[in-house]
Amino acid sequence: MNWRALDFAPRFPWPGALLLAAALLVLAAGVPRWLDARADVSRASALAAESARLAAPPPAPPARAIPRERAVAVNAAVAELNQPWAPLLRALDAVRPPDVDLVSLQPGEPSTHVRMTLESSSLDSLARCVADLRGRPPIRGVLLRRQERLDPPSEGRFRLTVDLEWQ
Amino acid sequence: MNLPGLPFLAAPLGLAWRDGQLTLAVDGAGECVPAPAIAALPEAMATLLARHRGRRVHLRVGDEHVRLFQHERPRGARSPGELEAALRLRMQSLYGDAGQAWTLRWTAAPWARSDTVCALPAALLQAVRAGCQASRTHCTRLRADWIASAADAPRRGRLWVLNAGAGTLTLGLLADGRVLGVRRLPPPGRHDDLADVMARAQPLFGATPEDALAPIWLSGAALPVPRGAASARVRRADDGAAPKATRWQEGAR
Repeated sequence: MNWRALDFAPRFPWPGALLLAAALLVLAAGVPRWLDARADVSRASALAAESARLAAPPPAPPARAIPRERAVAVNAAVAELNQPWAPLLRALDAVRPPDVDLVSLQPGEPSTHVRMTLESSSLDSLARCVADLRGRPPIRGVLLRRQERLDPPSEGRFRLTVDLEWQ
Repeated sequence: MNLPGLPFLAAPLGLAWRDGQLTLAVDGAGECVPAPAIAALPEAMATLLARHRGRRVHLRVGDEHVRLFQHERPRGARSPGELEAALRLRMQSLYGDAGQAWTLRWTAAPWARSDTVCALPAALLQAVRAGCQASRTHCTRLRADWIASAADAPRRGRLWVLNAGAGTLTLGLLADGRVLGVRRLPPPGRHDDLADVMARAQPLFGATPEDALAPIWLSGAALPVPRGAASARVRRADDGAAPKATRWQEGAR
């Protein structure tokens, strides 16, 4: 028999108070574990960071400063070495008649161009050689830059300066 | 436990309002203040409890101020609202009004088929609240006399619980602590004693011959107990709110 139910006094909210007390107990019991877990996590992350630091390669020594002129020269040398000299020479040898002399072959501007100088006593041979070079791999285009007749005129030699575009 | 500075932890004070008097029992002695009506209660409480600020108070209200009845729970009534509506209907049939100005409490055991219902005037609860505020005390128990007496009764076997106030008799039958029935009896005649009252009341409860021999848990001061077989059945209820000097049992035992 629940005699308390027949009591008219203001009732203390026992269910709510008990729930609150239970919640506080659970929290009180759980907080140390939570703190431990947090400490474990932070300890583990610190260990992981330490091991990662130990496992990482030693840092590279600081780069030495390179003078601008030297860098420009090195870049130019690298660009020159990167030119497809061998294919170009092979293509040139394939079309060059015996009376046409290759005087010079040097890097041009931009880096996909090569400036070539040819000499011959026959202008027709020079023109035919240049025409044959066009479209021959790795040559994509041929641009005639200069045509001159060498002195003395009695020797009758001609010089062509041509820009080859390669790919 | 009386701790200085912590009056709330001290033993509660026993306060009783019955027969037009508010009585405070402290250490076996009684102090009385007239309080003939509910309206006089706050001032009487403030007067009696002026020296007991912060203490807890257990208040017992005489059965003449309450309505007590046993109610068969209607089938299908599940929610407290439905049950309260049924109880108000029952009050209408018993007392002639639906008790709108009364506050109801009932046992409300989920497995029970009947409820013990106690109703108190809402104005009385407000007066007690006002009295507690005026005296700065805390009312932690507020029960009718018969309820308090039945709650203190033994839990085993069948038992009659009778509270004999100055103008009221309230009788209930308990079985293993559960209330089988409770009702207000007509006031006893001038020469009636306990045996007469029980002889008239027991048929109202449909009592068996074994019930007629069940012990009687008696509280209150206004009914003589005959000597002989009837007195052997009587157990004295501990009326904690009343001062010892007013207990009728002292001379009767």
